[in-house]
Amino acid sequence: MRAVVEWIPKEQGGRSQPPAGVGSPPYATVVRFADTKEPWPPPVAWSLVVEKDEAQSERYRWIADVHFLMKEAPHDSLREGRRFELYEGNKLVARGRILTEGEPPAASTA
Amino acid sequence: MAAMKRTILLLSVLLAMAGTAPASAALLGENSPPGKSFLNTSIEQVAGDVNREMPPGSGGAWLEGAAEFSVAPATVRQGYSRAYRAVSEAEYQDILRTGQFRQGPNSLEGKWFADSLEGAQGHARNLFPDGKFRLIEADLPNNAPSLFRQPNLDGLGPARYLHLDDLNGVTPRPVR
Repeated sequence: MRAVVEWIPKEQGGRSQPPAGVGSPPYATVVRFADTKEPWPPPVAWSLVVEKDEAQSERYRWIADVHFLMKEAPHDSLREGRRFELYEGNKLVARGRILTEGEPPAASTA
Repeated sequence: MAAMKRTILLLSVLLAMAGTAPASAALLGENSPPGKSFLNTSIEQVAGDVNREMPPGSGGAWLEGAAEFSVAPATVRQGYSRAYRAVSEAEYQDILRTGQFRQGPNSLEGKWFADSLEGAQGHARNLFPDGKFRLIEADLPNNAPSLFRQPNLDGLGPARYLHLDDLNGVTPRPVR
């Protein structure tokens, strides 16, 4: 799936800078869907792999390919238009949204 | 003659010490900060044997070119928990070089650890499908400010996250 990912600046509680977004192993961290009613931390958390599309990305705003790290993960939860958050431990580091097919990547997560 | 007797006596003492070293290391390790015992330079670290290199992904600890390795104390110090992590070859080399966890260019600002070796191996299989990974263990402080425990990460069981600030002083060790 394609997604727009917006990294939270350090001044707003995020990382000191976004990860490189490319290379092996890929960047992968815990995802939480914004519309979930699950408690935090959830009974089972799943890691989302985020791979930056360098041609279409800016430093703090990426267009990225996203998928779960594990094949046992609930893949059907990655639905078009769904909003998500990325966590490193208990720290919210980025917000994102799954792009709909044919959607121009300029759209914001907001 | 007296000099020969002194030499024999010294050799006897050294041999006796060598025979008791592992038990002493385990005992002293319990009351010393992980990897920080004065035994670091004598007993807890052993010379690497470049002929014992194991293939990546085997979980083996020996790597060509490595000079010294820390050996895990038999018991974990009170207030600490032993946890495990699968790392890339590059992170492994960095750990061998620096003796600490550091941030890579494409990594989190902290590190996830599985509470079990099996959990780390499960992550490794998915994060490193080519099988090129190493397994690391460390004794982590239970009261670190950034400690975040996840009951079940990726269906592989309990895991914990610590920010790099809280990993200063934590000694990573290759899993044997």
